[in-house]
Amino acid sequence: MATKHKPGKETVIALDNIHKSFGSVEVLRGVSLEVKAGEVVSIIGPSGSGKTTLLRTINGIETINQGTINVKGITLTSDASPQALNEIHSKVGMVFQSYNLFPHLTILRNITLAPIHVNRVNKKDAEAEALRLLEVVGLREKANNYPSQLSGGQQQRVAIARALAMHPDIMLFDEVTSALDPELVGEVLLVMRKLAEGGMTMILVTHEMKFAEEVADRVIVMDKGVIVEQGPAKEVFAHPKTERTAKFLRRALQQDWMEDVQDIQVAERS
Amino acid sequence: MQNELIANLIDWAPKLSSGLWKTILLTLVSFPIALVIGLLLAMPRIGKRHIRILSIPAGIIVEVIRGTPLILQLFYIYFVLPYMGIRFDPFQAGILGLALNYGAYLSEVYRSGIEAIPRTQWEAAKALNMSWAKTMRLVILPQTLRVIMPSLGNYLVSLFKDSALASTISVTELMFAGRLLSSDTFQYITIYTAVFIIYFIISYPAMIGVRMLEKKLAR
Repeated sequence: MATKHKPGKETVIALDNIHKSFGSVEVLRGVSLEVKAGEVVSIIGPSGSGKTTLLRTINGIETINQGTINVKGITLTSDASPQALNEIHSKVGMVFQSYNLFPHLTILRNITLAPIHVNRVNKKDAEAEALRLLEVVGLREKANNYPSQLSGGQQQRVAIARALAMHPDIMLFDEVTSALDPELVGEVLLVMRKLAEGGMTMILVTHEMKFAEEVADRVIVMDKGVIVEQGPAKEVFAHPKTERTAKFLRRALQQDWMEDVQDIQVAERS
Repeated sequence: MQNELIANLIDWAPKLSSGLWKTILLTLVSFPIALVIGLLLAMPRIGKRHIRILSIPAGIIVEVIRGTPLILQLFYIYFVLPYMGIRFDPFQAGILGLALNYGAYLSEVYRSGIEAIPRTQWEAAKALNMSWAKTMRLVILPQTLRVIMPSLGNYLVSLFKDSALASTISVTELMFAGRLLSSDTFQYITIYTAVFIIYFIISYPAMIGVRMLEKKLAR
């Protein structure tokens, strides 16, 4: 089992009473959350619980209706300035469920595009850095391929490398393994685990209970737009405090994660 | 009879070929301008809030152009604008009329092409801190162009044929040359048949080319 890193003391993300509606549907109903530097937080919960929306508000892709978001000293409110949004985007990297690579560019160009055109890194340095990151995710030999020539798992690893090329302080992962064939999930989780062990602050929305348990410092359970429970994964999984969490976990763990249930039981006994 | 025909054709060749040259020039100059006009007219309608204000005038221009005949637009530019102190020679007026008209149609092509690019591409670029303009230029437009390439090819062929309307404002292009020659010689059948063939042997390969391009891109 992986050795866990120690999260720092500094609070890098502070969400205060976040509200968000789409039309008349209130998706987030007052969410407050603090994340420390180097901490790995898993957000779980039934679909429609608002977990993805919450993640998207943290880097300003989704605007909020009420509350404040503070990321490394930058504050976002319901009327965030373009400058504040730019600063947030530059500090927070994001990886999406559907990879969202740029299909018309090679893997190398996918990774160097933003460093060259946004951060004004010169081409040579950007490419050297991209190749180094491709090495980290184990795809150096694919540098000159196009996204369509890669498997889903490989594309997702490139997407992680692409986000890392902007040197973010925080990485957000939005169900990054949900679109993958089961046999491809492991390679992506491995990269994420390496990242976590390297001290990256990470927030992930995930269905990977095992990953949440082994790598995350804290699990947050959301339901109907609020956080219903949080704590270390083992605690939350083994002794859910509320009936809602218990019900969700029973279903989540039973359906596709029979193996994980066994692992947890083994972990509990030992 | 046959000798006479050949002799006549040799006689007319310089005028027809200079007309053809003008037609090609008219097409090749107005099309790139139309591509730029189309893009400029499309941008406000898909852009961010602060350039959305321009979407109303852009929309009006597009609808007015699409809602009136090209020949009338050419007449307007060539015969009416001089009264407002704006004067063009026939060739310039032809270029302007064709470029504006095709620009309006191409703006719709761009617009639907851009809207067909998944929203997630915008989000990915945003998460990488790319501005709207950079996202458009580096991520969205390159993908759009690939999608709309066959449409653009079809419009190019169409423009080549529609350039014949410039003959009505005395641009000395192929159609005009044919009309001039036939009214001089009364050889309507041979001259208009020759013009017919010339237009077709240029547009037909171009149409086949577009179709091949379409197949290649569809893979």
